[in-house]
Order: sequence, then C-alpha cells, then structure tokens
Amino acid sequence: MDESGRRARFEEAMLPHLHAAFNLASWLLRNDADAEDAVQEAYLRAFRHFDGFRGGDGRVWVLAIVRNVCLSHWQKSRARAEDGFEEELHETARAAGDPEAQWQQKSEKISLDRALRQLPPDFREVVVLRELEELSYKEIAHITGAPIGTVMSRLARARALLRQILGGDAAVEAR
Amino acid sequence: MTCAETLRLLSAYLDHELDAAGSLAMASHLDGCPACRRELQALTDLSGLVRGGGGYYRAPPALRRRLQARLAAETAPAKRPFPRGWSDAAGRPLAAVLALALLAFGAARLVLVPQPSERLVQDIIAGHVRSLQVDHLTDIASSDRHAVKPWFAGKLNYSPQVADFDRDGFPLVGGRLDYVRGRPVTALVYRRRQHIINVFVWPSQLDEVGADGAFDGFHLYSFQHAGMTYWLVSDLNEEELKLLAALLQRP
Repeated sequence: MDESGRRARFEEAMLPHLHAAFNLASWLLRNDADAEDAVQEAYLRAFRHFDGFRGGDGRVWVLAIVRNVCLSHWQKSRARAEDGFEEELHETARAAGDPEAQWQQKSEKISLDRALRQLPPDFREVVVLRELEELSYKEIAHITGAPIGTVMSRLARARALLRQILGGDAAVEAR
Repeated sequence: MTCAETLRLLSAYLDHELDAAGSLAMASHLDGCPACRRELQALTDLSGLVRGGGGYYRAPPALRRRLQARLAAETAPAKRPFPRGWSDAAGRPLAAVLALALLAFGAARLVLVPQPSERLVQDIIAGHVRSLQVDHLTDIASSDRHAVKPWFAGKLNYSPQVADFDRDGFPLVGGRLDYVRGRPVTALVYRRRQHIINVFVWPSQLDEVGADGAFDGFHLYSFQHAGMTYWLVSDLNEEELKLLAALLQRP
C-alpha cells in the first residue's frame, strides 16, 4: 500500500478526534505543553500501528493510546517526585474531614475546573470520558483497561467525591 | 428494591447503563420514594454542571499543523516521475553541464537542476514555510547560545554549534527541531531586519550540497563545514545570506 495513501487514510480517520485527544491529555496532565507532547506521541504511535486498526470507533481507539501515553508521562513525573498525586489524594481527604476547610470551600465557591483537578487521576479520567466525551461504560472500560464493573463503581465514587469537594448541593460557580 | 440498592445503582441508572430489568426496578422504586428521587436529581444536576461548566480543551491549530508535518516526515518519499538519467553515472555530468549553462545565462531566477537532492530541497523549503506560521518558529526562543545549544542535547545525537551574530546584524532568534528527509535536524533561526532566516544543520552525508539559488521566492544557500551540512533559506537576498554563511563558518 502506497505510503501517502496510507497517511491520507489515517488523517481522514483520526484527525477528527484530535480535540478529544487533546482534551483527555489536558485533563490527565498538568499543562498545555505536556498535553501537546502526549498527543503528538500518541498520534505517531497510532499511525505506526494503523494497520492494526480494524475499523470500528476511531475515537475510542485513539483515546486508549492517548491514555496510555499520558500514563507513562505521569509515571515518569511521579518518579521525579514532581507530581502531586499523593498530595492531591491527601488534600482531598483532609478537605473532606476538616470543618474549617469545608467552610472555606463553601464560602470561596470553588470553581468546577479546580474541583475536577482535585480528583485523583483515575476518578478524573472516568468523569471526563463520561461527561465530556459521553462515552459508554464499555468504551470507557476499553480505554482505561478496567472491567466495566470497576468503571461503574469508580464513576459513582468519583461523583460522590466531586459533590463533597464542591460543598454539597449549594450553588457553585461553573468556572 | 431497597433504598440502599437504589443509591448504589443510581449513577449507572443516570447513564442508562442498567439492563431492562434493572431500569424497570429502579423506575418503580423511584416512583414511590421522594428521598431517592432527590438523590437522582442531585446527581443529574452534578452531571449537567460538569458537562456545561467543565472546560473542554480543544486542540490549538498549531498542534494540528505540527502533527501533520510530523506524519509527513514519517512517510517514505512519494515516488515521483523523475527524468531518467539524471541520477545515474551517465546523467551526472549532464546535470553539471546544464547547471553551468543556466549559471552562464545569469538568469535572475535560477531553476534548481533536478538532482538526487530534490527531496532535500523540498523539505528545506517546506520546513521554512511551516516555521513562518504562528507559534511554530522556535521551540526554544532565546538569543543566548548557552540556552539554545543545550536544548538540543537529548533530542539529537549531535551537538550543533550555536552563535549569536547580533553585532554583525544577524541576531539569533532561537532554535527548534525540524525534519529533513524524515530525520530530525537542528533548525537555528536568525533575523536580518524583518527577514527570518532558517539555518538547518546536521552531520554531513554524501550529495548534500546542491545548486544554490532562488526557488519560489526564497533564496537557498548550502555549504559543508567542520563535518556538518548547512542549508540556509530565507526571503532575504542572496548577497546578505552569504554574509551569514560566512559568519557561520568562522572558527
């Protein structure tokens, strides 16, 4: 198969999912530059494995690769102790149990984006894939490599935690 | 169905992920239970909040362009109808004669003679044109060679010579990685008044310095120095381009 034809087919099938790819990477990683790097790497990897794509949903296929690339990036930065994953987990737990922090959050009307960023990565990713990409549990299970049952319970717990962070059902600022 | 069971499955119910029997059981429990209905409403509101207010990050146009350039660099050169005889042993003297003939005519706009380096020339021009788009000129924007030179370490397996020629009227703008013939190369960016000059540098191989001249409104100039091949490309005139070339060859 001639190379430029293969590239044209790949671009036609996969470039429409570039926004979804960048969105997921942006929520999983810390900044724009990292997200762009991850998306580039993911698309190159996808292109090299394009022969293994047997049709079906291109978006799900690409997002699974993006997610894996982000995972390696994240593991690398965690090894460098730059990433605050442990920190985030503790901060959330602390905030949930600390009356003063809760009061502060309510009065500050924590923004939605900040609240999402406070979720641990595996909670954040299922929320992003479900609410922002509107993917089914089955598709989310494929992308994250978790069984459907885990996706279901993770999403339920993520929503409960998000509600806690946002300070109950009081009115919050959307941004 | 008890309230406890309902609450456990509420999230899945909201997402329409329960099977028919489960959905039916849920619906009928909710029908008679205001407390669980309120919980469902709270979950629905939360979902709406995230969908409406959670930022959806769209890929910037520059990312798409860079990605397409990268994909293009990945693929092997397209097979083009190439005049037979240019590249074989019999054809090279012919090519040289033609080149001399064109030079002899002193045309203001030289035509680049088709040579094995045709793809190289195309990549140089494409790289230059791409770099002129917004946000794509430099990956490291600095006139300090002590910032630019180390930036390439770890990205390339050679370390390019970097110098700023501000005093000579060619300030260093910065550097980036680019691709020529599918391989990553150094691109150093200089400025002369309002003109951007890209200097592509990589370890020399054979057949890499071709006939210089004008192509599509750009001037190209190439040379080899200290084991490296240099290609300069700009809309700047040839005479001044050669000045930069001389500066780059200073020890």
